[in-house]
Amino acid sequence: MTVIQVFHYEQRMSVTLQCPGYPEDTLRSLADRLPCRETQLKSLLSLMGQPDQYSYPSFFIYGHRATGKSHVVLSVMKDLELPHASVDCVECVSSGLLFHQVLSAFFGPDAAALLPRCPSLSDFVRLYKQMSSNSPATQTRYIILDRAERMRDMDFSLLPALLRLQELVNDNVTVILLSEIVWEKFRPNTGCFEPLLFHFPDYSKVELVQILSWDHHPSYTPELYASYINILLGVFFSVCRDLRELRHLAALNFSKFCEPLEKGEAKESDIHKLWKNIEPHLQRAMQTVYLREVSSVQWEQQQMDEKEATTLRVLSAHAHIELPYYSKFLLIAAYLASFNPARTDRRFFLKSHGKIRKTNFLKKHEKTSNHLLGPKPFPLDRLMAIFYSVVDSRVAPTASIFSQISSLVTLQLLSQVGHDDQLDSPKYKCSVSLDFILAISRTVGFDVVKYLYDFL
Amino acid sequence: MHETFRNIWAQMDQLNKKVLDSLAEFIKKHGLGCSSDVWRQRASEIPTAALMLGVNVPDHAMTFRSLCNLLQDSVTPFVASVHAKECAAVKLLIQKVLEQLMGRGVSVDEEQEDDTALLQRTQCTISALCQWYKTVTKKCTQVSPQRKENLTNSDLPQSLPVVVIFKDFEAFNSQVLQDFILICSRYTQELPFIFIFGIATSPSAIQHRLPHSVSSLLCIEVFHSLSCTQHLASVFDKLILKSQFPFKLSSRVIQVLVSVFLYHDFSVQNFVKGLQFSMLEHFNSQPLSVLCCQKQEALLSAKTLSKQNVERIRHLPSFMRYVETQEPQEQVQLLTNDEHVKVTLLFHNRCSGKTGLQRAQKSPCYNSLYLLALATGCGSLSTRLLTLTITNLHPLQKSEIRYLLEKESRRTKRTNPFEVLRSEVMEFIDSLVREYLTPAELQPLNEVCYYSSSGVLRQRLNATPRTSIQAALSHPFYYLQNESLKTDTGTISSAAPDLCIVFKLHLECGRLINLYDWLEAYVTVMSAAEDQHTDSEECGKFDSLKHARFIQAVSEMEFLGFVKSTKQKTDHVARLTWGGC
Repeated sequence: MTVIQVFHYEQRMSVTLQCPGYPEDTLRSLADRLPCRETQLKSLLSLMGQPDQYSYPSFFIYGHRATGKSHVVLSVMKDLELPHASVDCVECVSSGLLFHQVLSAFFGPDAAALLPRCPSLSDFVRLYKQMSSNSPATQTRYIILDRAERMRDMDFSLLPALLRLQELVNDNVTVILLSEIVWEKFRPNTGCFEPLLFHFPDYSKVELVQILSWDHHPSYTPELYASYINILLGVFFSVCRDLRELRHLAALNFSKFCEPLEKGEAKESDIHKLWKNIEPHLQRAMQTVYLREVSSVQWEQQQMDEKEATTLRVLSAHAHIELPYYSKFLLIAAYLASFNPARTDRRFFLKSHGKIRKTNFLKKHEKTSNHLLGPKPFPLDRLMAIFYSVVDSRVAPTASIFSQISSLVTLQLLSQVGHDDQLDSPKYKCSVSLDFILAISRTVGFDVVKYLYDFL
Repeated sequence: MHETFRNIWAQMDQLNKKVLDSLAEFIKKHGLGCSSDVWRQRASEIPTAALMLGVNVPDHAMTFRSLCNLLQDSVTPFVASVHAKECAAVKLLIQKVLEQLMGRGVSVDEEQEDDTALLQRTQCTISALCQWYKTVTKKCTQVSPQRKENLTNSDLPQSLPVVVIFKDFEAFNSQVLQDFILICSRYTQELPFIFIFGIATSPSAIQHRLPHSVSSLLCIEVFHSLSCTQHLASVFDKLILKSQFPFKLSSRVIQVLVSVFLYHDFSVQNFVKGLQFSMLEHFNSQPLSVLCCQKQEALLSAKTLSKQNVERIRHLPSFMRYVETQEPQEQVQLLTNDEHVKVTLLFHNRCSGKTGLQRAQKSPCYNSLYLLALATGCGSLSTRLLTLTITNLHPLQKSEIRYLLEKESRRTKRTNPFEVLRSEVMEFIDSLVREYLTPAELQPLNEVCYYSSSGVLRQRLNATPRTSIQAALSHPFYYLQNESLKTDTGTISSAAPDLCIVFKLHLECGRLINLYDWLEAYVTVMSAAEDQHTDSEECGKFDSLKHARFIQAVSEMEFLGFVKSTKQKTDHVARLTWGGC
């Protein structure tokens, strides 16, 4: 019950936001809509200053996924009706798209159409200046760049230029960068204008309860829903703090939670009974639907008809792959070539190899487990040599054998290393796990462990 | 003849229908589900179908084609399918999707054409697609009254889903996929996307490619298509074991075809191509194949058989064997009287028709046995075997069973009661088969219907480029058939083409070949022949010609991929084949 008390207390408190230049009742409703982000909201507003004043040229807001960065910023923009351009950097496959979106948000699509075919930064600045001289900003214009970490992959001059865009275009414009990673990872080598850093901390458990309790079901009391959220967090909090995920899970499992109530087996106050009912169910959800082994629709269907629970197969259950006979051996040969040092081939694949002791045979660095080091590249010739010695019948080097290698590459069971020159003895790596290769070799009756240097 | 084949093949397309139908159902459901209450809550999840198709990627093309057609006919006009090869970057992927979607819309109503012509690369975004989609769907709902009837069921306007098919999921760059999914998930409210992943390996490939943050945006359901072995089994059922299909394969040929399938590619398409090839080969090489057709036609053509063909029949080993078993008087008749041969032919034709019928009845049991041979784990073996109607076995099965038996005896060392029982049953069946069925090879005139030259087939289907190139270069006589090229093994004749001489000389070298030494050796070989008729007076003049020929030969070697220039040593080339041994 303590949580609920806290919840009530905070609601009553209802932070009084006052910022000159903005209508007070909008601010109040804004604060109500953004629970647990009052302090962030307050400092953001004070940083922005009054709408007609020049604001700081650039902010950098960072925090984990689903900590309300874009939500807070965008609701501020929308509710206070500030001119803004919101751009998701994932979408901007070229910087031209970014310019296009910004210009069309501020000056309409006609302005954006003036951009040349592959606009450069200076084109953008020129056009912006031209447009803003026609319609100078009465309020601060905001450019919000979501997932700003993608900007680092774009033109190297773009980020430093955007950070001081205000200077460049001589207009009341502020760039807000939103990112999940810290500013230190952005800073270019040549140095740049430092934006104001602003952190959104993770929600605490109490805050999560408070936020999740917001979307309670209309036909049940908020108290019941809050206790349900408490149970849910008890299971999931250790693995997942992503608010979006948690909301999704809460919505998915609530009907199951209410089942005893519907059937009349329990009353709302009977928390313990409800807990007993839902707890194993949630555990199962954590192993399946949370990992997306089972789609949410399937999960809901499963709740409807409990009997078919056993027939539902999860994604990773179909792990085995059917391959042609020789492809299996090629894969095994590739695995052996990847995880055995080339010097040991003689020991494994020659009939009269003599005894070679593991300890004094190899150099020091080869003594560490090859499985810890990961697969090593090997040339095609070595693969074929091992293949011919592992496969139990005589195989002609037909074209289809070689084409199987390339189809293994397309299936990403092998990966080609280095350049694409097929003539120059191509090199490959085997990219499957030990378990996988064990399963494959079992189907062809081949004891792969006997040939692995690590297990000698 | 060919028509029969066509007809039967047309039926094969129906096989995947069941899976495709369930997929279409899935898409319809999600298309409609947009309006439901639950759906809106997690609207950012994109419904995704993971379609498991088996490892042979080229075989998938047909499935996707029919899936596309099915979707366009019955569900939604908005279908785009993309190949990994075309989509190395997100930009290209989006461009491809847009081209296909909007291009298709254009073909429906002509007015849009101008807009797409103006579509610049900069506007090639999903938001542009979004705009386009809105205008198109608005038109659609205005135009088609039957869709409006649907609208009465739900409050919100029903939207047609936009289906994007990723044909080869494994080959996609995972970064590209992630970005594309992230972008699309931003627009799910306006654009009802549905993805279809064509997966060759296993569904866990999705989890390997995509991080949790991205896969949590998908709502994945798995669909399995027929496994390739089942697919092949139905090909067997419908093509090879049908009495309407007079062309037969001998057990050897079937073994070749099946082993190509099992050992190499798992490709039903290739199997059918092999079948087609053997058919072609049969009708091409065997003149008596005029008799290999439906019974009625066969009777007709038997009546009008030419003298030459009757003579050919007499030379058939199976016919000779048959003649030997007859009475002496009959033997004389068969060997001299053409008409008599024809009459016996007619009689035999009737017989073979009958056996064909029997065969058709047997097909299911053949099939199950065949599947057994395919199955690596023989868990349900005994139960299946006991259900067989044993006396009806086809001669071909004998070899299959023996194959199974051999395989079993080789693999299992330990014996438990089950295995003992199993091998007993096997032996029992084997003896029964031996007792009651005569192999097709022993029946007279089997050559007419049975294609048996497995050697030719193997040679044609299992191409060995490396060995044939090597044979051509080391024994030019093999291909050129020029008497002067005949040489003993080990010697290098100067009459051979330059390339062959250079190739043979390079075999004697190590991993790095000194070009000058090579040239010297080449000149020696060439001049060894000339010394016999001319003295070495014009040596210098010949040298430049030889030099040029040598350089040309070496560049041909480089072109064939035997050598390449190397930076390790100047004046050297590196050998690329046979590991430099």
